[in-house]
Amino acid sequence: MKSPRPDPLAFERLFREHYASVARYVARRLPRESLDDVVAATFVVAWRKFDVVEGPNLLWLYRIAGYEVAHERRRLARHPQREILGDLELTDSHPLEEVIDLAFAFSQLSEEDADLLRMIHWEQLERSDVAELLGCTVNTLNVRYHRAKERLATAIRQPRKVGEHPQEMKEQP
Amino acid sequence: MNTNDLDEMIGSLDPVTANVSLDIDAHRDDAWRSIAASIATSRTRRRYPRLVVASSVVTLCAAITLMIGLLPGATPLSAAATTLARAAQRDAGSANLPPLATGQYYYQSSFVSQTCGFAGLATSSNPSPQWIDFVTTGTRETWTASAGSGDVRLSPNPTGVDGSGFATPQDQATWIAEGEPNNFCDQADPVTSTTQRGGSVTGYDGFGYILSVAANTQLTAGTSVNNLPTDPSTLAQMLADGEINIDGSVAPSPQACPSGSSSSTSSTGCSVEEQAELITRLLQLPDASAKLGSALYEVLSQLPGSELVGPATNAYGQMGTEITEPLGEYELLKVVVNTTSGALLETEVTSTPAYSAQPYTVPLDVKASYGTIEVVNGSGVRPGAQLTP
Repeated sequence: MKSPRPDPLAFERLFREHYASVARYVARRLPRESLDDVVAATFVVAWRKFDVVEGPNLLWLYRIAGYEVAHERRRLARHPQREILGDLELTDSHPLEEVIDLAFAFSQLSEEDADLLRMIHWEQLERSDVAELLGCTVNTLNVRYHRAKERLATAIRQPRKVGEHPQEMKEQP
Repeated sequence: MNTNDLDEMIGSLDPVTANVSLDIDAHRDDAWRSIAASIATSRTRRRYPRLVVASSVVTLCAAITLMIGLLPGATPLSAAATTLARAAQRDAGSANLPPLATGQYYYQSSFVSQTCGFAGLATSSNPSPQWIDFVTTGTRETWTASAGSGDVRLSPNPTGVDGSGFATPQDQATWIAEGEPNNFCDQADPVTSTTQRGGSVTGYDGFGYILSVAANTQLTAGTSVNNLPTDPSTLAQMLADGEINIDGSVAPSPQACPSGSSSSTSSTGCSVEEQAELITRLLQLPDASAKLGSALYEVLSQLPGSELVGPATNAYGQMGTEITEPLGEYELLKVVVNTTSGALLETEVTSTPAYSAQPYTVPLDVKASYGTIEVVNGSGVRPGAQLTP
């Protein structure tokens, strides 16, 4: 039986088109030192499945990257690290204290809630795309999204102990 | 803080700042070079797309079809081909499965196992990572509705060293010594779209590459498959000319082989391998009739090269006849078939010594034993059982 190999040129086009998005997706979920390996692993897996999956696209790559991120987190869990929050981009409209409160509240969310918010606010995916990634309907997604935001708002209102800082709150799962 | 403020502030938490974005963009070419090197130096993983699929009555025929269809050359009929031709006749004469009432499904359970090899990414400090063997066993259950849609449930069993999946302690030690590289053989299913696979798949985690192909199995029926001729010689000619598309529809004239193989070199028509690929796809369609399946059997049974090994028993204790067939230079196919009912009982692909001698390769073994198809009263229902959660 022939073993059809994926078209390397088509795969390189896929890579060049989506590398930055995949790398940002990973960078939002893992420490910087894991970025290169996890992005590379994502595309190697994509290559292996490139001729199997119909219409490989960014959502498909996100799906693979999601599993690679989970795998890396399991590996990191054996050597716990502090939650990595990147440099905050502050604006004039929100004082630093508010942003820190929000960062703290965000770190208290479940991973499911946090990832949903990341996908909508950071990856800026359409609701229908997020629903497909999560395997649910758009209506269900909307409910989950609003509940996640409610939980975030509730967490913001919770008093924080003096000295607590979001980067010290939560270890990587 | 109002909703708009909250939305805006969530955005401000994004750790991918403009500087991080610039850094990512600047690394794109380096990243590509690293990935391209890994792809170039890694072993091309074998595809056994037909060996672990058994979701319908005709799917029983499919794997046999694949295996026999892969035979190269043109020599006189062997004993194995005769056996399969007889099976085809029996299959054509046997009654189809009872039709499904509303809410009913065809249920089939299969034991599946695979030995898979993987390696970490090549790096400057470790340009030749070692291959590591990983073993997975489990049960695959399928529920196929009359419309062809359905569900697949995979249930892995703990296996390997202390249930880790590593084939040997050395494999596990190598994995640890190399920094626990990503195990491509132990990954979850990246395909979520049910339109790509025709049915839902649960329990995938841990089954790795081989069953990812199984999970993509097209449960959805083709629209035109039963309009195909059931005369074997006509069917064979149409397949050779590339006139039959993968969904069973017929092209008006000979065309480039629609198997989708990127390695195809013919402008029109299909090679033997491509014909096998097409036939296998057709046989996987649940609503393909036994009569068509029989005709496809016969087309394939005309392909020589197989050897009749003798009586064999599958994991369910069902008796059949074992046939082997070389798949090119590096792989050997074993098939156990019930020549009375035409049912496929077991398939296995093992690597040959020539394959093991190749650089960057390790032996692979993929095996599936197929249980009897039964009618059940709902997806998730097992024969003789109530609805499972």
